Amino acid sequence: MEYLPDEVIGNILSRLRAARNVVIASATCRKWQEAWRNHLHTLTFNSSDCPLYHEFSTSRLEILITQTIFQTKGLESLSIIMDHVDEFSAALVIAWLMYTRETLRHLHYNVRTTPNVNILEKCGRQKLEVLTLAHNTIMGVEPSYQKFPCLRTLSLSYVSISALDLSLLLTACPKIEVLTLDSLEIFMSDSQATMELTSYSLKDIYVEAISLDKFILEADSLVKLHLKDCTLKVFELIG
Amino acid sequence: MVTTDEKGPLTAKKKSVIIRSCDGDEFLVSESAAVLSTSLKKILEEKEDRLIHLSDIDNKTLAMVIAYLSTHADDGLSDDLKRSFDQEFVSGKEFDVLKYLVLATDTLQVTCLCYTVAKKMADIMKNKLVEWVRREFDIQNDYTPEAEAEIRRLDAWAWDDRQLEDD
Repeated sequence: MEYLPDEVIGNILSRLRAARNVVIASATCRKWQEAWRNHLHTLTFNSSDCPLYHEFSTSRLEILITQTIFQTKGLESLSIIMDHVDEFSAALVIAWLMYTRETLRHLHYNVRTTPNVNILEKCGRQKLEVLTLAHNTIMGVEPSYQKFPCLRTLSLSYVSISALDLSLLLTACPKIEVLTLDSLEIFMSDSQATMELTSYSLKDIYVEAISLDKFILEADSLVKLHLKDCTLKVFELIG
Repeated sequence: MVTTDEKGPLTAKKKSVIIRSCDGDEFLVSESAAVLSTSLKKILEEKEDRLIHLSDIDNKTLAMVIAYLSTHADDGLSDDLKRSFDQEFVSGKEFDVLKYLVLATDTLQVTCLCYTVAKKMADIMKNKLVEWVRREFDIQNDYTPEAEAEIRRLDAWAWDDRQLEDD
């Protein structure tokens, strides 16, 4: 089996997902070490996968994540889900996003950063297909250049965002099909508390624990609408 | 140029392909199944005769890949049925069998099956010691003890042997 091609080894290592398993398996021999550096496409740091993470300080976690990401090339899927961590340093989060921005297609990230990092600005947008973001603030969406041409699935939970930015963000995603909005803190830009979302590609929307005076959703292709524990005085569905 | 007279037998011939394993056994496969493999498709586009010799895939592995291709070429089966076939296909297979399958699906460029098999292998490899991986893949450790120690030092956090298994 020493003749397994590097791409196949990279593929098997990628399916291991959890960073710790990948690091251990990649030490099998020199060939596997090469494969992990050049052909790994998926890497996950998830506090529920690895109980060891709970024993580490935040700075140790930051170091091990940085060091592990920087040993790879061409990551397509990166998941950093650390439920027990309060916040990561902005400089490192920016470094992770900048390092992977050319190739990333899936990004899952759920840790607050100090100071706040505009994740949408730093992450690779051209190839991104799935974005799951939690416990962050989104500010100043610029649809003129912040476009997500391939994004199909967007999930925001415990995110602070203005109604205007959310609406702009949706227009920057012309191919979006699945949208999840959970426990968002929605700021209103003016006194009229209306949130208007328009998408012609959206098929599936899930909204949970959101309170608004007025929510207008225009979605011609919508197949599935799920509202849970929402406080909406007026909800209009167009299309 | 294909004349009208030649067209009949040619299309009839085109419907199936004979694939020979490295053990010498031959398998008759419908062309619609064979072309689901990107490499077989390329070979068929380039050559006239319908016999393909695969010098590095054994009988047992080839039979499994062909069963997969034939199922996926069957228009009568729903996507759901095909998906449950895929799960069934890898479940309970020995690690050794999976190794040859992943290699064969890479050679034949059957991307979906290659992913499914790699995923199954990864599921088995989860939380195993590096010694387990070397043993199961039959890989010689080509590091000097110093080089291996250095690797372990670099990512020391991962090398805590707790929660790792060797069987």
